[in-house]
Amino acid sequence: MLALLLALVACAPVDPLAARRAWVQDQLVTDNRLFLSRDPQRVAEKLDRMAADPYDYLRGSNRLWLADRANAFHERPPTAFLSVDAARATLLVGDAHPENASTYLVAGWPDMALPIEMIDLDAAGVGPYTLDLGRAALGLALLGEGLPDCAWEGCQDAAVSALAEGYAETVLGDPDEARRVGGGIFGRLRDEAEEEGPARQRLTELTVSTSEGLRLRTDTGLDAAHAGLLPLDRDEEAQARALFAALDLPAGSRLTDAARRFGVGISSLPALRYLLLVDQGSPTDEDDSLIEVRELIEPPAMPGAPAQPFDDNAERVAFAAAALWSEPMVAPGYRALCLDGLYWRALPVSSFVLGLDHLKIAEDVEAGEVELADVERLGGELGQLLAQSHLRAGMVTGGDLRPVLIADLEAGGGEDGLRAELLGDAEAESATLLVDWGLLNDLIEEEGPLLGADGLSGVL
Amino acid sequence: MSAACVGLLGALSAPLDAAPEGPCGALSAEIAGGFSRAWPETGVNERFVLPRAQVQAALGQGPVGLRAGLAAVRSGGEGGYIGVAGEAIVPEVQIAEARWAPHPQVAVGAGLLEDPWRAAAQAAWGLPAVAAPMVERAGLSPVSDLGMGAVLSSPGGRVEGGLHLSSGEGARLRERNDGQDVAALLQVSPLGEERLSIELYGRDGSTGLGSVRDHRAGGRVAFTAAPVTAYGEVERAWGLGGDALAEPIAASAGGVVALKQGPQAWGRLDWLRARPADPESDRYEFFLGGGYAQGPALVGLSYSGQRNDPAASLIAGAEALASAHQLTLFLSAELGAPPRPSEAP
Repeated sequence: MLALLLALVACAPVDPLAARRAWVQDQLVTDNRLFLSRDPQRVAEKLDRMAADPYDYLRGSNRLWLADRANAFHERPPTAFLSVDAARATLLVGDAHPENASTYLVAGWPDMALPIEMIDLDAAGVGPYTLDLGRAALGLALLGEGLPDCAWEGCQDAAVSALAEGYAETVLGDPDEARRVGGGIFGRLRDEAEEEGPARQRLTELTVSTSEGLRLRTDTGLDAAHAGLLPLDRDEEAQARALFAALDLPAGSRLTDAARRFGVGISSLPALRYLLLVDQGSPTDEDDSLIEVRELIEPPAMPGAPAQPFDDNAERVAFAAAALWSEPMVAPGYRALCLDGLYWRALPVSSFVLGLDHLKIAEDVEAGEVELADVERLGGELGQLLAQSHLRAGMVTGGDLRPVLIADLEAGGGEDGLRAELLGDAEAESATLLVDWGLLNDLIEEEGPLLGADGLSGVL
Repeated sequence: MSAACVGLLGALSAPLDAAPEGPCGALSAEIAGGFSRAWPETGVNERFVLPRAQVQAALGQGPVGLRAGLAAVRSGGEGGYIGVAGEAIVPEVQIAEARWAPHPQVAVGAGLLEDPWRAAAQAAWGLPAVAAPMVERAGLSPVSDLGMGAVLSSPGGRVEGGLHLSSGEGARLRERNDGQDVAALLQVSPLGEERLSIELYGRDGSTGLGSVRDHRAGGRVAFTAAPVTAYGEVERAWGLGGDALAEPIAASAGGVVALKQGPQAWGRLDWLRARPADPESDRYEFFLGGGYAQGPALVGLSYSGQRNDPAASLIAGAEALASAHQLTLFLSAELGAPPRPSEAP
């Protein structure tokens, strides 16, 4: 009787869209399970932001993208690459979408231009280099999706093609040839950072001058977008002070104020985040600076990756920054650390640290300040930037990665093969992502802001 | 420790023998540690491993029995950084069963029950220190789940049927939907004394917030003629890991030649076709090895290999992921467990 029942149930047709909806729900809830147990309101805000914008959905769904790539139960286009074993031991950015690219302050500035690197290394780790390229290609397609008159053909595909060319040419080309990103959209970003950085615009926005010096401009509550700076309770203050002490700043540095920061980022929006106002000893405000200390969560598993060689989560991020970036960040306070069983990443909040913003690019295109050809150029420079980062980091097991990548790229069809593969993947994955984005909106409407996971809060 | 209680250390089954009148207790433990070397060479290739560390305790009085089992697990998982006190190895409650046998041919249980199909798979293979059974490795069955179960056996014990209700989420996750899994296991031993066992299994299940289907159907034949045990099994899934469209089919066959004192040898082949209509989505895993046993201790050298077809790799088509190999030198010991049928003096 049970066998008959089972046969009937098993043979019942499954609606592919309903199956996908459940898969998206399950993956997003699992991805946020740690945060759901602690602060479900922040998870609801994150999901709400993801539902409002396809690009923000992309930012919050890296794990789902990786899970899809690894899902052998579905038909997936086979890669022509990864025939060389060491090619899957590349140090990856981990979430190499265009908005991850940012300027930052280095010791050589202003004699040298501010560098642009992939600055968010929360998902960094060792894995197949094609994952960074696939993520960047999908990000470019989604970026184009939000731009006026940037259809797949002629615009998005051009940016993805340029990504492949930029990567392949940097790897296969003359290693002594100096290649520096910074034209078009990246150039505008750098110009803006170099203008706003010395003016300390971020510091001015986030602080207020008092008789005792600068203090954080805290709010009485979060705004309509659930963003803001809130004063600390006693436990939070103790944690903020302990984090400040652990930052190991130069002697004389003093914590003058601290607050909880809300509503920043997408993927890490629910993470604990403190803003520290630090005085470095001068009686004036000139040396005051802001440091954001944010909880580091578990990176997603990279399909096909070997064992990760890092001692802990903090070392993973610190190692990646040192290995992937062209120049070390000089602003005080950049480091990753472990405190009270939690991992944290400290990053200066400064106008020198300026990332790409897909909405601003859309505005600039609308205003005619950025042309669609600049999006193609952005793709090329992103490919170049990723190749430079991968090559700079070298093989995690030691040694030069370039011969490995050359061998693997050539075995897979070189630049043409890479272009064809990235175009095929990005077109298919961006279509899937837009369907998933719609499903997330349906889920929020039908299951509530936590996608029906309300009962999972409180206890892991 | 009382021998009368040792039977409680196994999966839920009808007791057949008269239950002891007074209170009794039993304790068993199995621990295996070793050193492993993996190929191809990327990242961390050499490591010490703890493939098995499990303790079980049972108490019984009359028709009532209690069983609890703890296993060592790496907090944060093998790839994670966020765990307990770093990534410490911590005990995980895998079994917490209450049993009642109101009749020699009837037993019921409730609590955190060992998954009956996975338990039968482990009994058929018999070497968890070398590898967990295929159904567990492939994610087809959890080790245990919250639920209730009943087992009926025929007089003489040649036919045994069990019906299990469970949450469907496994021991590590709480219930996520209103649907309960229903599983049935039929075991027939036509030759008696467990020499030949034929097992059929079916599960109507759901998992996750979306109540994704999670059905199974499987069969197994296990044969024992001391010192040899051998088995073959096949299983089909409709829905797996929250993916309703996953419909893999899997099979496993293996055998062990095991003298209680002296050399042992084993071999096993697992096969999984990720997409039944695609012959290029096959994954093979094989385990070969041998060792020397002295009483409950076994020193062994085990080789495991994996071969993935292009569509079965974690990254489709990646030649670098087509194969992997591992060699493990281990020492295992098991005390207090009921003797296996294959263990010849």
